[in-house]
Order: sequence, then structure tokens, then C-alpha cells
Amino acid sequence: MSQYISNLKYAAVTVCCVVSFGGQSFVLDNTNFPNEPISPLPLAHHQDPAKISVGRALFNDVRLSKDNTVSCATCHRIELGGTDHLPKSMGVEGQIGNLNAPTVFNSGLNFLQFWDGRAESLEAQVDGPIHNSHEMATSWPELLSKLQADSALMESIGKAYGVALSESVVKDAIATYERSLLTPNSRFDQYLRGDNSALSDQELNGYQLFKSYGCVSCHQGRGVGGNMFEKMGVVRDYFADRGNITTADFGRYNVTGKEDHKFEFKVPSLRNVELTAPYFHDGSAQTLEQAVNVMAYYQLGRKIPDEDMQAIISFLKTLSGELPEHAL
Amino acid sequence: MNSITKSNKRDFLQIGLGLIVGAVLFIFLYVKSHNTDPQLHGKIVAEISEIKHADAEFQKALILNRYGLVSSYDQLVESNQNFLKKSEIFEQLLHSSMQSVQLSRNMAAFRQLLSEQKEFLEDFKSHNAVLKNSLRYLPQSIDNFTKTLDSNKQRQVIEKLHDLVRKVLQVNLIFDGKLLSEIDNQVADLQIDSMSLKDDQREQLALILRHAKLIEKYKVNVDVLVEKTLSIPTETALNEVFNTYLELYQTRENNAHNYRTATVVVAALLVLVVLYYMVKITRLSSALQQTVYQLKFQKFALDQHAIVSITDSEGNITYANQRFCDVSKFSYSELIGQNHRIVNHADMPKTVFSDLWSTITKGNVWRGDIKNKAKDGSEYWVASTIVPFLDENKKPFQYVSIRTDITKRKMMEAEVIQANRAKSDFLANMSHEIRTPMNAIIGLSHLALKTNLNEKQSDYLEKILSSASALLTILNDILDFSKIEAGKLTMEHTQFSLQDLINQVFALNCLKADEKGLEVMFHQAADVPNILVGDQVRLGQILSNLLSNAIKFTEHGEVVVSIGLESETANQMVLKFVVKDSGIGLTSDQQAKLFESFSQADTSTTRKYGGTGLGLAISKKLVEAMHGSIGVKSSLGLGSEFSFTARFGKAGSKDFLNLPYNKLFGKRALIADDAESARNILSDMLSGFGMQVKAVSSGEIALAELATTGKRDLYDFAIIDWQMPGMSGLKTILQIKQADFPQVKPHCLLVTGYGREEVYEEVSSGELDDVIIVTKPVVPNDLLNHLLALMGDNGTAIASPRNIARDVDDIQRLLGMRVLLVEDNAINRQVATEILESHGIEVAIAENGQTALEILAREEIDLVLLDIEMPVLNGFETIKKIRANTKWLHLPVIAMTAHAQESMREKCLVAGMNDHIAKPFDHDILFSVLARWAPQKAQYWPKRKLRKSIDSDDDCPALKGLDTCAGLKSVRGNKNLYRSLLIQFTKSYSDLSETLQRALKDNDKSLAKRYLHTVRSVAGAIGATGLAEKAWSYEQCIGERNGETCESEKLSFDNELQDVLNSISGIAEDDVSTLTQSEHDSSNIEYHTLINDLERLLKTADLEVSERISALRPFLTTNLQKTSFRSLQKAIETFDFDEALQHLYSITSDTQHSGGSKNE
Repeated sequence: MSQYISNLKYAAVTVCCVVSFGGQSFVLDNTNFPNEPISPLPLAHHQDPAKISVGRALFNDVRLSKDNTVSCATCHRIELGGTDHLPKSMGVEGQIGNLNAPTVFNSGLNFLQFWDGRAESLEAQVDGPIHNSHEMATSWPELLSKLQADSALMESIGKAYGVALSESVVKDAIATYERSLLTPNSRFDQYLRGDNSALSDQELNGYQLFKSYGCVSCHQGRGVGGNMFEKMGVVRDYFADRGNITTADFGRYNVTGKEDHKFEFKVPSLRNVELTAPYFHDGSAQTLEQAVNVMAYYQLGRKIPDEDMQAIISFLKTLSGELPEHAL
Repeated sequence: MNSITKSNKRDFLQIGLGLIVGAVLFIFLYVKSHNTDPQLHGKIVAEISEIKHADAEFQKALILNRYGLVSSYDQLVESNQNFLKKSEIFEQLLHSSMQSVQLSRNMAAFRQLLSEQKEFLEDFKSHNAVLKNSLRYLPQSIDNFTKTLDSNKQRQVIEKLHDLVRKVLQVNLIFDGKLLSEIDNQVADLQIDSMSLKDDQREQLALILRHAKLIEKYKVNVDVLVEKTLSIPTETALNEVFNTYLELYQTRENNAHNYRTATVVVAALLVLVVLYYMVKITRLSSALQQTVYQLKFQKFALDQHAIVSITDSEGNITYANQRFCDVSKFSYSELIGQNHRIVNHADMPKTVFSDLWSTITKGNVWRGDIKNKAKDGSEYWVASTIVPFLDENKKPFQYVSIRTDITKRKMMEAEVIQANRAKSDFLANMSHEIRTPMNAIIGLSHLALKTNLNEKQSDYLEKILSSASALLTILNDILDFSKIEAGKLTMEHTQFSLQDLINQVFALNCLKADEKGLEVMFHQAADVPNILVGDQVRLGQILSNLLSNAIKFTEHGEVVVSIGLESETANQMVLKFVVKDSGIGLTSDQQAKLFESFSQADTSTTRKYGGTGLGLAISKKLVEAMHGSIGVKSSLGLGSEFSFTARFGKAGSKDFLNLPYNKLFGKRALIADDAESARNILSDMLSGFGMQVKAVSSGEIALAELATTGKRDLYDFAIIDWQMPGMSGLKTILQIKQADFPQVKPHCLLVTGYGREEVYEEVSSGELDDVIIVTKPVVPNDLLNHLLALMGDNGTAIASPRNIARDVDDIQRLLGMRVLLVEDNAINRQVATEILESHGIEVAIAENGQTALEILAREEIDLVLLDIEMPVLNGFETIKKIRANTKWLHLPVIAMTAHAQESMREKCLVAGMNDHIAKPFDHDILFSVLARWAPQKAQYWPKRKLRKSIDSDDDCPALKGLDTCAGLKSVRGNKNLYRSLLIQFTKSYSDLSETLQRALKDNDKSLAKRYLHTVRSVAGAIGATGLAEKAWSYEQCIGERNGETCESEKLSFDNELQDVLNSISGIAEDDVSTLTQSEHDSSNIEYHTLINDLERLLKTADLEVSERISALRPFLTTNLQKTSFRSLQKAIETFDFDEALQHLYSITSDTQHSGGSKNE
């Protein structure tokens, strides 16, 4: 009898699923040009304000480091475009890191975290700097015991989470805060959403050149990058020219161990790119022009004339969005 | 009934257990049958569809991207992430649904495929981007490059480049291995060609070739990756996972199905069982219903007859039937929940309810009659039966009370009781009415006998007296009997001394035995305690009755009274009393009827011995009231043995005789007595003291025994009977004293059944003054005291309880005592006054309580005799007022009533009186009571001294034959008393000479000696010392010699007696007043003033006289005066002043001739 009922249920569920198949589709928010490779950032982040608040506090908390000198915000400075403007960041005891600190803005949209994409999520990413001896150089037990002493923090965690302090709470709070750090409503997004006056001719021209030179093959999607890996030096050998190759330069190879994946890095998002110099995983490009040049030379195997270069740069600058109020 | 309940209980227990087991099984199966979670299963199935859908979406996005139909990877990334996420959810669902190795393995394979696919995807994205750019740039760069070339010279190169573009684009569209190798060849060819080009051109060409090579490489790569991505069997793997899951689920579902089936079966079984028992219960309940119906019918029947109520264990009513409501007048709702006490009547004694509760709480049925109170206050009687219902622990949980309305019966009973009461009241009244004249008859007879009478008169009076006494006895018997018949006999429970009681009984009866020459013996077993709790008077009555009977019906021989302990418990004992005589005995017919009312042995006996024949009937009833039985063994002509048992309580402290025993313990005594019973009694008594006893039957044997004993077996005591055949007691003792025994001689005791005085004479004449005389019957206390005294332990000797006061000593103790007689009846007053005064007791008189109080306030009174029924202020009110004054708290007050009932005596004692005597007075009892309550001598006499100040030798008038000074001294100077003693002496002994003559003529020497002995002591007391000496010589003479030889002693005694009598009569004629003259002189003036005043006041009819009149009282001396005074008071009270004046005159005239009027 009961089995019969469950069979009926199964049938009903199946019918429902079949019906819902047809209804599902991807919604692209490109009013202006539906098939544009770039789509605008979502205007709202949909994160819990209480958790954001806890996350912000932890993001700025130096107790997350071994000697209470380094917080997340030390390298990802919100007021400076979510990065520290250093080629390579400085961790505890003044140690210099191996890679350039990427911006924390819109990092929630990245398909993976870290230059080599070794973290599946922002939560998983937190583990990295905490344990990295060049960065925070601490451990969860040490860190949690330090936080435990902060009754105000404990109270706000209690309110936001309803559970006691734990590793996963810390991770979730920081990740939640980071996911809220979207920079929507850039001029380019305004253009995409139908405001044709949002961009100048040169900027529009720059966008056309960005597409025609093939930059957009990698820097596409909502984040204008951040959804794929690419080899640094596709057409020409970047590292042979640069020299002084380190393990960090092996990129995705360090994760998969496959020779093919050597020198592959996550394509960085170009959102707010104007604010996030220096560029590349090794922070070797100090200016946008330099960066675009390097990209054209090594990735495209082309030389971009100065006029085009200026247009492209002016386009790139339209990608700077609005910093949410709660970020600071 | 009980076994049925038990088996039922067992049945129910089994059913219950079965049901519980069934229910547990049911629950277990039910849980098992729900082992599968259809909801979760539904979710999993839905999730599979979702995953498949996501997979499809992903593949769609991949293809769209591959063919450049979309320009961003967002869709692809998102769909892939969605796919992975769904897979993860699916895995979690699976994990929470069930765990299986197979399933995990399949899932792991699926996961592996997913991560492989992801890696392909990432590679695809990177390579596709590069391919896209190169494909776009290659034609453009070739175009730009060929423009820089010379179209003629370098036509070949240009063509080769165009061919390359074509081929590359072709490869991009259709994968062709041949084409690829052609491209390779072309690139190689062009590289050769580039050698001939200029540097910058060569570099440009190299870049073009690099792009071409990239396209060639990535094109293949991308296609392979897409194919690989799409061909990865994720769906197969997923299906495998799902199939495994479905299989497992199916298995589980099958199991659950089996459990479900089992559940249904168990449920069905349970239902069947329940149904079966329901049917059974229904049947049972219909049987029960039938029983209930039956019970209801029975209850209906019961309710028709009885008042029924049910209460809980606290006594709260849970049920009441209509009759209960009707009789109690409460409504049903008013009764329910109320405590049953609601109908209790205040009249019911609390003990009834405490008895009721203690009975029913123990689980016993209680029955009894209860008076209840209805709602309106009216009362009704019910005969109740209260039945406790017990639970398993035998504890009552409810009480059923079944009652019958017996109000009518009770009313009838009350009427009967009322009638009975009327009857007994009538009897009591009659007794009162009879006693009052009887009192007069007896009292006045006594008095008359003391006056000068001729023989005939004396004989008549004595007969009147004995007839009256007999009448009084009969009256008492009848009263007692009617009381017993009416069930009004109440037994007292007070502590008393058995010894005292025996003494009293013997004292009352032994005189008669003495007269008959009977030996009365007493034997009390050693283990009989002396102090008992019971009714002393009633026990005395029985013993007295039996003893007097025994004496009455025994002409010669002995009477033995013995007491033994029959049985004993912790606080009670049963004593057996035996009175054995050697009298006429009884036939068995007589024995049979003996204890019946109004029957004696036969009517002829009545005629010969007198008596009502009620004595034994009363004794029987009394014995029964003491929880004992009475019986007789007798053989005609040989004697009778009456015995009875009686139950007594034990006194708090042990027998007080125990203590001094120690001194006597182990001492040796030799008894010599010819009578075996006497020997046995004495042996037992002495053994009881812990002594070693040897008893022999004659003096000779006793002497022989003493002579032969060795030093070790010394006799400490020799107890010898006075009268023995052969060697007499005295002779034996004399022989012992004179004998030359080797050892110390024993202390000797002489036991005599005769008057002490005779023996004394013999003893003193025989120089045996250290011999102790013990009179029969020997009582343990007396004997003990004597023995202890001989042991030199006088101090610890036990004071023997005093006999009833009939000794001269006792009466003399009362001399000069001042008694207030409160009595309204003139004759009674006179009788009492004269009896008391004749014994030297001063009497103050009050007619009622009020006057008594006045006298008490004014005068010093030692004792009050208080009548109960009096006008103005009766006895009870008077005693209340007396006791209210702390001064008179300890004043002895003795009630006098004509009511012989015990209840009256109790009532008097409760009211605060010290004792009670019944009228008419028995002289002995009166004086015994007075002696008991008279204040101690030490305090008594000095008081008199203060009041009467005359105590000097100058005041002793010289009288012939009388040393008045010595006489006055003996009465502590009380001249009035002395005078009355002298007058009494005259009355008693004026004809003593003739009496003695008569006695001697009859050869009754002992009587003569007794008279002389008595007169000797009395003469000494009044100061007639000469007469005392003469009496002594005369008495000695009679004792020693024959009558004739005592002529000189007789003559001197007669002369002396005559002198004394003359002297006294002289006083009576002219000198008594001189004895008291000085007293009167001192107040003469005052007296005359008072008389004059009173006379004046009466003449003027002034009411002030009523206030002054009492001032006259102290001047009244004679009885006539006192009588006149009372008449005077009465006249004044009734305002008859003329008559009052006459009474006043009679007082004054009596004062003037007081001397003359006295002696009449």
C-alpha cells in the first residue's frame, strides 16, 4: 500500500521535474546588446547584514595573524580598490609574499579563488592566508582562542549566527562580507543596461577594440574575467623573457601537476582595473598601458598602436563601479 | 467469592500482559515498517532529474560556447557549477538515506568523472579563447602581411599564405587529418620561403605561422576536449548510482512491506483478542448487572427497613438512603460529603464513639445503640451495625452503617427506666421516711437505757432496741436487694487495705463468737497482697454476711476464714475467700436454694435464727458484680464451707508488708497448738515472713522439742496457744522460762481466743509480764508487729490498722472536742446531741446551714456534722460555702443523711465533705467516724485551754471520793466536760453494785471482772482514784479466789462507789453551777442588759430585734434554752412578737433555775 503511495509520489515528482525542464533558462542582463560578451554586475548582493557586520569586523581583525599585525584588510584595503598597490604583499614580520594580492572586490563572482584557482570557494580561500607563513602564519585553535576573549564579538556572532564561535563561522562571516563587496553600476554597466550616453565615443571605440583585438576572449562575463584559466605567454614566452622563474610562476600546475597546466593562471577580473595596479600575478606591470602592452605582445602576438591603446585604456576605466556603503 | 476475585485478577493480569506484549510487538513492527522514507526517496528521485537537467544545460552551454554562439563563459561556468552543486546535494541525500559500499563506490566513480570533466572544461575554455583569437587574427594578419609583399615577385608566397588561410579555416570547420598534414607542409614551406624575406617581413611571417600552428594545435585540442567532455559517461555513472540506490531502496521497501504485513496481522490479532475479551466482559458485565440488580433489589428491601449510609474511611458520607434522609430530616445533598458526625447527639458519651472507631478501624463489626440528632434538633435512637469494608491490606476503606429506628423502643425503655427510678426513688424515700423514726427509736432507746430503769423497763427497751436494729438490718437488706434488682449496684474501685477490712469485719462479728465461745481463725496466704483495688464496703458486706452466718449457725467448734490467691495477671488478681464453720450444715436441697432470694435453709431456721434470708442472695449478686462466683460445700451436722472468688485490681505499689520481712527471714519459730487448723494457719503465716517453722500439737511436745534442739537450731520464737488439753499455754511458757535449756530461751507469744483482759490477769499474776499476748483471729500485721517488737525493732513496726472505735480509749480521745451539729429535725438533733454530749463531746447546734456558717464564723469548731436536707441552706450549699472559705478548707465535715445509698455518699464526698454517715446512727460507726476525723490531740487540747482559762487547783471543789483536780486535769480543765463525765458515770454505774452481785450470783466471774476492769479505768479518768483502787483489789480478788472470800473487797468497793455517786449527785444538785459560775458572772451584766433590750424591742415590735437576737446565743447553756431560743427566732421571723416574748421569758426563767432543770 505504502509502496504504491511512494510510487505515486515518484511519478508526481517526475512529472513536476519534466514540466520544470522547459521553464528553466539563463537570464542575461544585457538590455543593450543581448549577446555582448560582458554582462553587468548584479545590483544587490543579498547577504545577511548581521553576518556582513561580523565578517567586516573579522576582515579587519589583526588577531587573525600570529603576532596581531596582519588582518585581511592589510593586503586587501577596501579604500584602495580592495588591494594594497604593492607588487607583492607584506605579511607577518615584514615578510614579502610570492604573488600580487588580487582585489577583494567582486571576488565572490570568481569561478575559483587564488591565482592558481586552488580554492573552490571564498570560504575555502580563507584557510590560505591564515596558514601561509608569509602572510598571517597562524592556526585555527590559536586564532579562535584569541577571538574567544572578545565578548563583544562573541555577542554579535551569537546574534548573527545563533551558534558559538567556530572555524566555519569565521570563514562564513568573512566570505559573506566578501560576497557583499560587489561594485555595481559602473558606467559600462549603465551602458549595458541601455544608457547609450554613459560612454564617450572613444570609450565605445575602446570597447570595440577590446573585443576586436581579442582581449574579450578571456576577459568576458560579469567579471570581465575571473571565470577561466589561461596560460601566461600563449603566443610568446613571457617567462623566458622575464626570467627568474619561481614555483609560484607555475600557476595551475601547482594544483593539477599536469605539465600542460604550467604557467596557467586564473584570468583576473578587469572590474575596477584602474584602481588595482600593479598588475599580473607577479605585479610586474605598473600601469594599464604596460599591462595592455604585455598582454597584446605575449597573449595575442600583436602590437597595438598608441591610438588604439588609449581608447582601450579609456574603456577599461569605465569598468570602475560603486563601492557599497557597508564595505568600510 | 474471594477465590473468584483472585482468579479474575489473575485473568486480568494475563490479559493485560498479553495486550502489553502485543502492543510492544505492534510498535516494533510499525517502526520497522516505516524504515523507508518515501519523502526522502521522492527528493532523491527529483534530484536525479535535476542533475540530469543541469547536465543537459551544461552540455548545451558547452556546445554554444564551442561554436561561438555565446561570447561569455559565464553560462558555461554557471551551468557546470550548478551541475556539480546538484550532484553534491544528491550525494548528501543519498548519504542520509542509506549507506552501502556499492553505492559509495558508484558515487565515487561518478565524482571522479565529474572532476575529469571539469578539468577538460577548464582546458577547453583556455584553448578555445586562444583558438578564437588566432582564427580571427590569422586572415587579418596575412592580409596585412601580403600587402607589404610585392605581388609579382612574391606571388608564390602570397598564394601559399592564402592557401594556408583557406586550409586553416577549412580545418576549423571540418576536422581532416590530411588537411592538417598539408598545413604542416605549407607552414614548413613558408618557413623556407621566409628566409628570403626581409627581417621584419620574416618576423611577421613567423608570427603568422605561429598563429597557424596555434590554430592547428588548439583546433584539434578544442574539438577533442569538447568531445571528451561530452562523452564522459556522467549520465551512465549517475544512472548506476541511481540504480544501485533504487535496488537498495526496493529491498528495504520490501522488508518494510513485510513488516507492514506483520503489523497488520498483529493489529488484527490484537483486535481479535480485545474483541474476545470485550465479549467476555460483556457477558461478565451482564452477569454483574444481574447481580447488581439483585443487590439493588436487596438494597431496596434493606432500605425499606433500615437506615443505611455509607461513609469513606474518614467518616464522610458517600451514600445515604431515603430513610436516613427521612429520619435525620436532612436532604440527600445535605448529607453527601458531610461527616457522619453531623447527626451525632451531644448526649452520647465520647467513649461510645471512641469505642466505635477503635472497633471498626480494626476491621471489626460494631453494634450498638446510638442517639442521633436530626436537622431540626429533635433526637432519635438507632440500633446501629457498622460494617467496615476492607481493602487488600485489610484496611477499611469504607463503612456501611445499617440502622434501625428504635426511638419508640427507647422511649418505652425510658418510660420503664422512669418507672424504675420512681420505684427506687420511692424506696429511697421510704427508707428515708422509715429511717427517721427508726433513728429516734434506736437513739432514744439507747438514751433511755442509760437512765434509771427497773428491770422490766430495761428489758423492754433492750428488746425495742434489738428489734429496731433487726428492722434496720432488714431495711438495709431490702434496700440493697432492690438496688441490685434495679441494676443500680455500682462497684467502687478504690485502693484499700485488706487487713483493715478484715479487722473491721472481725470486730463487728467476733463479739458474738466470743459470747458463744467459738474460736474464729483467720488465715491469709502469704502471696495475697494487702493492698487491693476494689469495693471495700461490698467485700466487707459479703465477708460479714458469711462470717455472721457461720457464727450464727455454729454452736461450738471453730470458724476459719481464709484468703488465698486464685490467679493473677499483670494488673489484676482473683482472690478466693473461704469461710468454714463447724456448724449445723446444710442438706443438698438447702444448698441448692441457698442463694435464691428470700430463702433460707428453711422457714424454721428463720424462726430460730432470724434474718431476712436476703443476705446470701445479696452476697451472690455482689460477688458476681466483682466478677466472681460463690458456692457452698456442706454436710449436714458437720459444718459448711462457703467460698467465693472476686476480682481485684492491683495497687500501684507492692504489698507494704514486704519490707520488714527481712528481719525475720530465717528465724526459727515453734508453734504449739492443739487445733490443727490453727497450727496450719500460723505456720503458713510465719513461713510467709520467711521464717522456719515447726508446729507441734501440745505444750509437752513443744518443751521436748526445745530441750532436744542443738545449738544450731535455736528457736527464736515460741508461739503457744493458751488453751490446750494437758499442759496449758501459760504453763508451757512458764516451763520454758524456768527450764534449764542449754541455749538462749526463745521469745514467747501466747495466742488466745478469749478476751485479752482475762489473759492479762493470768499473765501478770504468773509473772510472765514479758509474754506477748496475741488474740485470735491472728492477723499477719499484728503478729508481724509483735515479732518485730520482740526482735527489738519497735521503730520499724508496722502500725496495725485501728479497729473500729469501740474502746473506751477511742471515745476518751474525743473528750472535749467541739462538734457543730447541723440538723433541722428536733428529735434527731436531740438524739445526736445527747449521744455526743454523753461521751464528753461539746455540741454546738445549728438548725440550718446559714446558722451553721454564723456559728463557724464565731466559734471554734473541731468538726461539723452536717445534715443534707435542711431548710434555708441545705447541706450541699453549706459545704460549698464552708469550703469557699480558706480558713475552713480542712475543717472535717461529716454528712448525715437518711439516704443509705452509695450514690449519696459519693455525692457528699464530691461536694467536699470528708465522710458520710447514715441515719439512724450506729453508735460505733458514729464514733469511729468521729475518731477518724477528729483533729490530732496535740493541736486539740491547748486550743481548749485558751478558750477555758480555769486551770488552777483553787478551782477544784473538794468532793468526797473524787480528786476533782486530777479529774479536771485529765480533761484538761474542761469543767463542762468533767461535769458531763461525772453525770455519765452516775448514769452508767449507779447500779453497778447490783449488777456485780447478779453476775457473781450467776457465777459469771468473767463478766464481773470485766465490769470491774472497766470501772477501774473510768474511775481513774474522773479522779475517783480511791474507787479505782478498790475496783482493782476487788477484781483481783474475784480472779484469784472464790466469790465468798471477797466480801471485804466488795464492801469497800460498794462504799467507795456510793461515796462517789453521792458526791456527783451533790454536784448535780447544787455545785455544778459553781463549777461554771465564774464564767457566767463575768458576763452577767451584759446578759441582763441584753435580755432587757430584747424584751423592750419585742414589746415595741421593733424589727431591730432580729439583728440583736443572735447576741443571746452565747448565753444559752441548757437544751431547753436552746430550743426556746430557736422558737424565739422562728416567732420573730414570722413577726409573732407576742409568742417571741413568751419564748424569751422561758429562756430567762430556765436561766434562773438552770440547776434544777438540768438533772431531769
